[in-house]
Amino acid sequence: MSWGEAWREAWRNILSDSAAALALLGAALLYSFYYPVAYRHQVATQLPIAVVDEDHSALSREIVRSAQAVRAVRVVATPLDLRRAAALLEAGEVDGILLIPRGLGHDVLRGEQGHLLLHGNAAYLIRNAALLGGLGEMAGGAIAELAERRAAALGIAGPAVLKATQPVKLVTRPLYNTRDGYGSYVVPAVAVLIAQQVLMIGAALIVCGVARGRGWSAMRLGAHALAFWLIGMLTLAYFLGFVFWFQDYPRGGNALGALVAVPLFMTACVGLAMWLGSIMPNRARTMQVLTLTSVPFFFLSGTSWPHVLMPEPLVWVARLIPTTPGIQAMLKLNQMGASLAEVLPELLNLAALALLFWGLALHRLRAEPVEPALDGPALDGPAAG
Amino acid sequence: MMGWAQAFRHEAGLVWRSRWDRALVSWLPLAGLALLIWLFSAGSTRQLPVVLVDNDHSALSRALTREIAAAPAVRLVAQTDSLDEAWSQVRAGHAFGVVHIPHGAARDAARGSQATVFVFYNNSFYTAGGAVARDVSAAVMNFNATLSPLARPPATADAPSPQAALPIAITATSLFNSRLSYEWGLVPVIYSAVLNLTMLVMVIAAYSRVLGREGAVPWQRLAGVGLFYVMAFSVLHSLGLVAAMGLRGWTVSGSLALMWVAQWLMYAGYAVIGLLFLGLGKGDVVRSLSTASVFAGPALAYSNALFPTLGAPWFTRFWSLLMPYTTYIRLQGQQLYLAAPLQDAWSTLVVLAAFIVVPAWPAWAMYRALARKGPT
Repeated sequence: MSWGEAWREAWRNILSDSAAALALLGAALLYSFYYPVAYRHQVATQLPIAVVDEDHSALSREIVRSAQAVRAVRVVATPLDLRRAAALLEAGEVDGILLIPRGLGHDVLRGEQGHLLLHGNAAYLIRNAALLGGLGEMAGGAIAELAERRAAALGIAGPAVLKATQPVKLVTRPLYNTRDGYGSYVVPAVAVLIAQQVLMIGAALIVCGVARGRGWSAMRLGAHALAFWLIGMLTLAYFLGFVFWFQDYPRGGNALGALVAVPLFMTACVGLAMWLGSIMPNRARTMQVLTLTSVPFFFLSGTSWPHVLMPEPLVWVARLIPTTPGIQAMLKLNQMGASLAEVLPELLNLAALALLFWGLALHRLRAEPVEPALDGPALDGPAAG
Repeated sequence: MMGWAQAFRHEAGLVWRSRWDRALVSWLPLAGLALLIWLFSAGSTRQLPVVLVDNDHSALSRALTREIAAAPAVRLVAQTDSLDEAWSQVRAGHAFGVVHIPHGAARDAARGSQATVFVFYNNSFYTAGGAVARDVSAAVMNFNATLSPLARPPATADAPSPQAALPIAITATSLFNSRLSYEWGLVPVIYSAVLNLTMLVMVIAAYSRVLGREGAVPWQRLAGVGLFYVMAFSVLHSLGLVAAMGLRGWTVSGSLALMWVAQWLMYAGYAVIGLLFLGLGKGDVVRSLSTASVFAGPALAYSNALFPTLGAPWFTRFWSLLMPYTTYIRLQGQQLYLAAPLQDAWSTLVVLAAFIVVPAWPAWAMYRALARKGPT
């Protein structure tokens, strides 16, 4: 088989296999809109809350009005007591409660300390953080205002008020994902996962279908690998270059660095895909099982739950998956503008995985063809799919 | 002609004889659950690495540093004079935040204006960055309260309140998951999502086998196959939760039985939807599996369980409602965490039942059409 024949065979195999072609060429396009749209709104807003005003003072009404203006929440109920508010919370009608206890206005007027209670449903962690954060900020503002009035009453005025009430001012600044968007945090990471998964599934389907992934000539192997690699590169280039721009996600920090990391990542992915294709019993099983890996791979990647909080042995297991160093490296280079030196551990990890999976793939694909067992139950037989 | 009970037993036998299928309906999902629990076993976001840049070197900056270092989510891993060095630590992933106390902070505070201090947090790591920002902010608030000249001596020596200086004290309580545990808050949600995708890809492969080997069959034949997976996965689902209750101290506030009924209905819905996908994939198992995975794969993203769909585009909210998982996970949340009253669950069960009834006829009609056409 000449190189030209092998090259044409690879593309024929890809294009004539509708499921694999869809995975390799169409899925990334689909997912590039499908995922971002789930997070298009970016921040949690209008979370329903109940406000219980037991105080009915001028101050409490002021606080209720301020709460209505908080973007994160929407006051959907004003029950008379905490018991009724709690019932709404338990029924899932509201995500939080703002309780203004009886006597607040009175206490504050007398110069004593009043109390304000916020309850959030922490079964939903993101909502809880948004809700308590938004209401806390609102209450903090109201308190600062009251404190100023109190200071003024004590004869402290002008800039000294600030010193008296808030000697240290904290300025909080998000880095990289400066709009504080959930989508602009999760999609850039998921994009790398998508690139790996569609390549892994598509390429494994083809490898599995061609001579059951055994007895491949060097030409056939090289031609298929190069075709897969080019498709994978195109997929990531599409995400990093177009999708992130189109969705206005943080991007383009260290584009030259990405030119090193992306090919390395893809090399590891192609090795993994070809190895998996050579060990799976048939195409149906390949599709079925590899589909299930996406969610575990994402949580192992250390994006949503950082590796410093994960048990060390599990982090080592996670490093056996290209997406783990791949996502970390891509986030650092693309979002944070890291230098290559700053992603060196990830690059070395990717290089090691490329070697490992290519070694395994070569070992399997170059091996002598085997006679398949003809009839296995369920999806285990070669005929299925 | 196989009745449904016979078809159920036949399917169980096939699954038992296949190494892969056996694993996928038994130990593999449970191993996945164990992996998730292990992954999130630290529970809450604690001791995240933070770099301190203290350019002030004052008594104030040292006192503030002590306060920040005591914050639960913060572990000061490095102290430097150079912001550039701090950025590099963040970019390399060695830290999730930087606290910067600029030169002159103590002087500003002493002169009667405010000292400005900065916290930068890595928001590309949303969970970790957000936790650092929240805890540093709380620490500074405490620090202010203790420093403010308006602070009065606490009423009793054993109950000093750091907020005593402020006219109103805020008490924020996180209910139903007071330790803000990600293990408890996320793992049941993720486990359910992984299970429903697994169930879907299993049942589609099983129908395709019936189609390929037997062609036209009475509906009871398919019902028996579907029922096997409905039983297997609803049992796996509840078993996983019960095991985690025993081993990890998870508590179910509501009714485990109600959750099982809801799981049963959800998987029955997916069993019917699976048949629909076999039809949409024109009987080709790989194509059907790939279409189904596009539908059910992003269940977590669209479920409203992690990130709220409230305020999302109409497509997101519509698509979210098309997944039985979205309906189920709402009930699971209510029963697992909130102990919602049973009458609140009725409407949810009705919706779950609708996912069985509504697609049943088109799914069955598509199957019959495929069977008539013969092997592809």
